[in-house]
Amino acid sequence: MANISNIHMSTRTQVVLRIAAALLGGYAFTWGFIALGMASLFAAGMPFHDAEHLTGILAFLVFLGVFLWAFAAHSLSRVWLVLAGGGVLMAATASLLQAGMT
Amino acid sequence: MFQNFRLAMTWVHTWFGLVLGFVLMAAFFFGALSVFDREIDRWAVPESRFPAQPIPSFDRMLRPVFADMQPLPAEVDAARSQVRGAMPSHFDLPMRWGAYTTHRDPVLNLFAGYELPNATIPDATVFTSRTMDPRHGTLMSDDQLKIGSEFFYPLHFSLNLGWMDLGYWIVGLAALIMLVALVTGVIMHRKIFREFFTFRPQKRLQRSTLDLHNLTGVVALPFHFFFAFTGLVIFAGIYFPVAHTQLSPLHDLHERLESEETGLPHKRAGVAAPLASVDAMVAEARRRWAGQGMAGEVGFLSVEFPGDANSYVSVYRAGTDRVALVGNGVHFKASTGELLREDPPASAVDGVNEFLTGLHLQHFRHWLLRWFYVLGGLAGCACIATGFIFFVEKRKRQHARDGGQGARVVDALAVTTVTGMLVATLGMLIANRLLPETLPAGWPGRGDAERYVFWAAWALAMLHAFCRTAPVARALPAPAWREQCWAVAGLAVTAVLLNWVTTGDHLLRTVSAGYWPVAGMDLFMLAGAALAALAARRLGPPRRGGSPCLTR
Amino acid sequence: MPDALILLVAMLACATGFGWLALAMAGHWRQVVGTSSCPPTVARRLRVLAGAALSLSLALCLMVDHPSMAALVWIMMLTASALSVAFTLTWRPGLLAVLAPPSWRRRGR
Repeated sequence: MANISNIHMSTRTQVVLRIAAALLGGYAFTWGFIALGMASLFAAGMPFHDAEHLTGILAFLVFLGVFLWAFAAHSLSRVWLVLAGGGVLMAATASLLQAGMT
Repeated sequence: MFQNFRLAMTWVHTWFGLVLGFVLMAAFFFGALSVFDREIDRWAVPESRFPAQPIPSFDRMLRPVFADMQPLPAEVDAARSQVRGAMPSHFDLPMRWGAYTTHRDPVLNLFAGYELPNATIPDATVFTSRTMDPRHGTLMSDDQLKIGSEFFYPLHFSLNLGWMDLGYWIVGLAALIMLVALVTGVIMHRKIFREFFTFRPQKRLQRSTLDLHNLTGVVALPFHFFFAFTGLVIFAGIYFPVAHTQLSPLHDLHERLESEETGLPHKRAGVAAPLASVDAMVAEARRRWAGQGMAGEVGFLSVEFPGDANSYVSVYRAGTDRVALVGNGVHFKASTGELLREDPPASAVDGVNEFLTGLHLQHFRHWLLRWFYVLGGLAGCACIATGFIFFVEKRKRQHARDGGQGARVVDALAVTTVTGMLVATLGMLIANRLLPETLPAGWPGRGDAERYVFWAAWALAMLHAFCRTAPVARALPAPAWREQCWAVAGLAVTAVLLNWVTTGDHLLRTVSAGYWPVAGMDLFMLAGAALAALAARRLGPPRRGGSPCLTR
Repeated sequence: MPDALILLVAMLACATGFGWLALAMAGHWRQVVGTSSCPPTVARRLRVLAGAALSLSLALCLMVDHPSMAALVWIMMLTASALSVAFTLTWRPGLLAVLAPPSWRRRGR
């Protein structure tokens, strides 16, 4: 798999991509976390609003964590993979769980 | 991208802190003012300068007002886009009536929501609200802007920028960055324990600014973190509307289940029914609270689907004695007054959530804690302002050598955001005292005029700031700071004098009568004027010889 | 009102605790007392005392309010007193000399 840092990229592009990863990738990851959290906790029997509130509280700590990681990590491609990919994966799993319940 | 972890965190702190710092300044300052929003309302609306009142009788005073209430023309216009076809001339299907008060409110807030027929989205509603004097049941004029609770307060979480909720998103991003800035700041700060109490104003400006930045950031770190964090949690539904989008089927499933569980209908029946005595229901609710050792006042009262057979009345207790918000709801069938449900004690998650939101929204009665919150907010402002000043000081010599304008621009924006914001605030309060009750036809309403003055004053301050920071490009201090400090001092004193002249409630009278909302405002503004004047003098005219340092 | 008095005492306890914590640091000891540094045994004692003073202030806050509020009051009180101690050290360090009685200064030399 091509490693983004091997591709020649101006510093400005790198910076923009990092910021995008932290903000947009972070948002996607957090969305996925909330969706999966809510769906699985509700499926496990937790009242809906409790699941909503608990994941809401944890979500911003998660966003904070992945935001910082996006800048601390060496490999930009890994950051994108984990954040965007992870977000999509978690969200998809949540929809599957939902389909099973409704 | 970065050589090591610490450098990465430093870069993030510097650049995200700089860009979002301008927004955070407004959030912290107007947030600090919002602690005493209702007291600011008293200053701005002299007709409401009477002691706090409990909720009056619903049957005698509130019901007739609700029965006649209709959305205002401006509100109907704003909702037009949500309706296919013509707007009804009269709204007959109220979805909800609500009345809301806290231990600090002399006036009562009433609101009503009406179903929009032929709506483009399900459950589309148009809302309207009124302010009532509960002693006589009279309504106050719709055009008296409550500068505290209706302008400064929403400004701190939405910049009063409602278009597409853009302001909410900007402040939300700023809040996230605040958390980031706190964590990265701690990582960057090598001597966080050793320098815990350190402030050395006698050193060079760059060092003493950094000292103050670190001090105000660290000693109030729990405050800064918790307020940014709880602010995000409160609006989580806006930032991550998962339950209403991706997981809306789950949400609807839950609503149906909950409705069966609680016995509270979530739809109207379509059959008309009378409204029994709400006063009796309120009395019953208060009896039940007292019976559980939680005697209290009503904080929030609502009637769902008034006039319908499925209508129910909810009575909530005002959370004055604890951090958690209004709660302990008791629900009654509206047509008979029969008890439908008493809210069970909060679950563990609910308890945590109520604590976090209650901590931020402060319905509690505790004057010391409120003033501590103001201190925290102002410490946050000091932290951000010193951050800007440090940024400029660190770079202005380099920029002067290279011919860059970066430091100058940041300094101008810093002046705009720090002193300019104060100029705008005071300008609005002065306009509030000077504008007549009703403006001539064709002019904007009084409330709107006050808003325009706020933004215009801020724009003027910005213009002044950009014009008077040219010396920064030569690595010299900007006269803009000193000049705006004098302006702030003058405007604050003017505002206090105008309160005296236009209402007669001068300090001697308000202090001796113990009417602290207005006395507190005047004293706070005078203290601010003194500090601004002190700062202006310290920033004094440059020494002969053109030393680039501040006079000390 | 007794509540206000209790909170005042709590605040003083906080400020005293932070004052002791500051004195346990070499730089601030020098500012207040004037001698070269704080003897290690004294520094240890000061930190223990500081912990006790801060705990006392928490206990006093809990006497006045519901625990959920007392916790917030105490945390904010820490902020207010830390700032007060910091500004006192900046402009009137001599005022904190009362927290380091002469008998302690000589010990461990």
